[in-house]
Amino acid sequence: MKRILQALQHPVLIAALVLGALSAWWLAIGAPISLITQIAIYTLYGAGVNLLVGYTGLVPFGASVFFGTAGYVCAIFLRSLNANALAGILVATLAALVLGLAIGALILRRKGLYFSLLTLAFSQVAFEIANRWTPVTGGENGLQNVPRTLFASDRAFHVFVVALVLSGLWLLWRLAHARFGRILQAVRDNEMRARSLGINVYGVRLAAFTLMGGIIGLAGALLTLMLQGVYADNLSWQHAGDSLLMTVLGGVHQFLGPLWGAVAFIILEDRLSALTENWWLIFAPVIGAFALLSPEGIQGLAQRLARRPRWTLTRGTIPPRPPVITPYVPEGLALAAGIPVLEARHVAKAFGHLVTAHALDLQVEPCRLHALIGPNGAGKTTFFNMLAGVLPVDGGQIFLEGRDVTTLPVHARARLGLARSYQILSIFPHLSVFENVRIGVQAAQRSAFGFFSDAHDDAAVNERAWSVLDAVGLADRAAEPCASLPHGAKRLLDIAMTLTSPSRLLLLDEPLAGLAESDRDIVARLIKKLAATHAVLLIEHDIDRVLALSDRISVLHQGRLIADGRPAEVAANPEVIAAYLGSSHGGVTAPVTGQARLAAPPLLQVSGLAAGYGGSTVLSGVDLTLREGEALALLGRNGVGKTTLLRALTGTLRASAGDVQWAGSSISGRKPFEINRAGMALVPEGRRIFPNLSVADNLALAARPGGQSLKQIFALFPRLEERRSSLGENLSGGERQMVAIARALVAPSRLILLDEPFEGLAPAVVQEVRLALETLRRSMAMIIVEHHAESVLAMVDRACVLVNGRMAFDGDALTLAADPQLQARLLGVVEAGV
Amino acid sequence: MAGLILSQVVIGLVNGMLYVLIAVGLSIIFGMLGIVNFAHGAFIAVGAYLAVTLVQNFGWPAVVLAPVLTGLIGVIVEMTLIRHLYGKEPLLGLILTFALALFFEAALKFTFGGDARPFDPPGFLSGLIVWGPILLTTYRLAVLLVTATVLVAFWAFLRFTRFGRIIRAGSRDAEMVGLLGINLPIVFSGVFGIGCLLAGIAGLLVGPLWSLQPSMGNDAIMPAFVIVTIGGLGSYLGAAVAGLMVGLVGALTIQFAPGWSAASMYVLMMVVLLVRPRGLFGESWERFE
Repeated sequence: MKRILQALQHPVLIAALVLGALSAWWLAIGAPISLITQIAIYTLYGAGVNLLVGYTGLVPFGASVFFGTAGYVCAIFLRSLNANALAGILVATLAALVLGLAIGALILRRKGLYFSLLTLAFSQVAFEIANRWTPVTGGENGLQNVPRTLFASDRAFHVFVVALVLSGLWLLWRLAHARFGRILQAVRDNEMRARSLGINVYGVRLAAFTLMGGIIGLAGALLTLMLQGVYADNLSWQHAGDSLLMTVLGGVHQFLGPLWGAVAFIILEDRLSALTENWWLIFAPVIGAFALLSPEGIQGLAQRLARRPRWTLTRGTIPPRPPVITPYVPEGLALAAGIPVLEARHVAKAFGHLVTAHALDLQVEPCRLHALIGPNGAGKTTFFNMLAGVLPVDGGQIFLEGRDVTTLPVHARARLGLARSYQILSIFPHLSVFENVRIGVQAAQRSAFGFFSDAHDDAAVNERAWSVLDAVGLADRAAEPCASLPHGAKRLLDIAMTLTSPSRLLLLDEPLAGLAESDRDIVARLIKKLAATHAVLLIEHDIDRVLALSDRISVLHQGRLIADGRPAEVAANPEVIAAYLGSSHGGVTAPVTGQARLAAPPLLQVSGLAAGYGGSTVLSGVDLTLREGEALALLGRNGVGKTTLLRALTGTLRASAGDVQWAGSSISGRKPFEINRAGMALVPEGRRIFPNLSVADNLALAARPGGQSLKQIFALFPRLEERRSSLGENLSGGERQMVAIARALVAPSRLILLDEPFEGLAPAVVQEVRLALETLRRSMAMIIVEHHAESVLAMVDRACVLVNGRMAFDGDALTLAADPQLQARLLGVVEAGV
Repeated sequence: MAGLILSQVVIGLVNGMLYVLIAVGLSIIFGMLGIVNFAHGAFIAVGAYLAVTLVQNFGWPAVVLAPVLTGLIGVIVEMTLIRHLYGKEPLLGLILTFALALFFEAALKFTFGGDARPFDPPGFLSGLIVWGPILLTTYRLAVLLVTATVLVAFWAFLRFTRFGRIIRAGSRDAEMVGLLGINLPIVFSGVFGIGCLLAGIAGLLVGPLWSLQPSMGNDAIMPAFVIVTIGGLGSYLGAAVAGLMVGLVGALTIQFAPGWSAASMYVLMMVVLLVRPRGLFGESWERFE
């Protein structure tokens, strides 16, 4: 019984029932059946388009190039050879496949809008050719009298088309569940992750594009046979949009979306055009309303009404969980003893003026846990990206087990045994937890091209996927869509995916970031276990754990390796301690004299603030009070939530709880521009000055009456006067920082928030910026976000320290400055309690 | 023969400049709002029909109101519809503006009928100009001058006015513009309105050149897309250079291979994009890739 019910839910059966019912209805009312034939043809057309839009995540504006071209090929072939319809269909489909391969090979290197516009250009060229090449295509009149000897009657042809379309849908449904279809969906969700799992994204997309061409070509040939003629109209951009419109109307994330779209579109067109010539007057608002109110289309709307919203591109099930899950055994590739698994020789990288890697040398030994640490902006992630092949090196070489991989692409390095996890969560958000891991396991087997048999029937792959899931503790949540997982579980999943490939080297970029304490333990233990069979290179800010876990630590600071050795040695290295706690930068500024408590009224009062991104909680229960004219240092190690706090204050991130009072009234939920106008200015991390505007224009944009004049600004930063007409993109890092600060001053600001103002600046420039901030003190309140305590403690009245999203210290700057132990505990490299 | 070619070149220049005008409007909307406005062509038609209605009822001077009204319609459309799509799936913006285009076309057909209507230029511009070997209608020359003036004026607007600065800055980092105390929602409505205003000017100018029909914008929007793409998304100079290129190539193809002029610009676009992926003057912007 259950099996029958399940079979009844098969989308191809539903399509058959819908098309059958429509046919019966039309025959019953005696209307021409060709309208339903047309619906069937456009369903196939839409399904072809959706193979690219819904499954692969590319939007072709001009898919009609295949529809039209195949139509012409079919017509010309049949007219000249008088062959039978089946031969015509076959030739036309093959022609569309070849065209798809050729066009795809040419344009799939382009992405996004450029890709879409290029497909449009191809369809327009085809339209112009069809419209003008009269001797062959019939020009504006098109071609008529295409012979249809088989299925001569409309009814016979209708049955033939419906049968063919249903077979096509069935094959597509198989494809969606086969290895290839599942890879497509992974590429759609996260191209970068797919690459790092060893998937050749370009090849996969090219195959999908070619297939789309073939399917649409088949539909085009059928339309030619139905009309027994072919016209250029279908190639024009107005009609190129039709199939896309239908697909979106039905729902791009639904397998049957194209069917619902074609039914609604064609029947409404038929009925409405009988009522009025201007049927678009009614139909366009319907489509617009769907775009605005039901982005998931007709089926999405129905699901929402039934309160069961879900994508139906594939079945929502996963293979049954085995009664006993085989314990996970790290599948390290054989490691040659003695040879470093990874070696970087003089690797260098610069972004404009900012050098993020000065000739880095690093060796990662087999079966060792090697940690790479360093303060914020040290260049760790850039270095990782060069190792993995995401960024090209400017100089130097990278070797994987002695083999030079410096110029190999990401997926090729992955296939040689380099696996990586990302600092920013990198998963396939619309796939189930199980499928995320299974894709990784499948990719590791290097057999992406299965087009027919269900990938979930591969017992070996399933078993491995269950083992990996179990190892990170996610086996119980395997069936859930990963979007619904809490942040910590997504982290675990990210790591699980890294474990799927048989690898020699694991590059783990902050695997503990954003995890709760209990999850941290699980992951830390797992990493330690992996280090027994792999070489592991780990970036992590949880210094306490790094010191406890690692076999070896390298410290990166301002693009240079300043230490390399055993944890105890590194922790005692004076240069490392200085890098983390900051040596006084020139030490010119005297500490604030007369620590008289400011009697000024409070300007900013934050109470119980909580905030995070996409469900994760970065900050919780933060309280903070700042008085008029007070200068405060907001300190904390990297990743503790300092920037998040600034985003919540400035209104670019909505707080999930708590309240922010500004001069006595609440500003929670206000828009960023309103908050700025109230007098809170931000000097953001990375400066964010406008590269295409001159210095003067950058300042003029921010200027408001009551702010400082240009004269005052130039007195503060004389260098900006010389560069006033230079474009932002041509400024050095220091000049950019000056512009960013000046931008906050030309408006009447009562509080200025500075996010890492000294990051990446040369010492002389740091001094200049410090002196400028010194000058501004007392004329406005200031919050300086820093990870170096010592570089700011001398400039401020008070200091707050965030640890893991909570305020761990709030008091006199002098108190903190005078207590190195406290500093070390809250900010430093030394283990807690030492 | 040389005279004929020169005349074609001038015609190509006029067309090219008009395309630039349309492309610039498309480009600022895309740059700031991230919306590919498929309804841009419809706004050209709206501008043209508004112009002809105003002329019939109030005489030629009233014609300047046509672009202004088109711009206002644009503002209303942004505030009621487009606004809800920011930060959502780009495909939805495409579908919505596509539907808008079809809606405007049907609305014009409903109000004014589907047949082509003549729209004669004013009497003082109806003559011919002979200038050495070049033969040109006075109206075409007037269009050339007006378009050039509008383009220079709009360039100056972007370059020297406060709102112009906001548009340029916002196309690179809209959130930061908001953080500097500038009311972004109003700016977005304004930008959409200005884009439509430019389309309205183009509609007013092309009315007497092409005949007036509800689908007239369709012939103009594709060249505009091509120009934006060839020139590089977001580049004013690129749009100008590409517009003139497309106009000239099109006009010369008419001279030597009539019928293939429309295809010529697509071929030009494909060649440029395959050689220079971001167009002639385009820079790497994340939003487009």
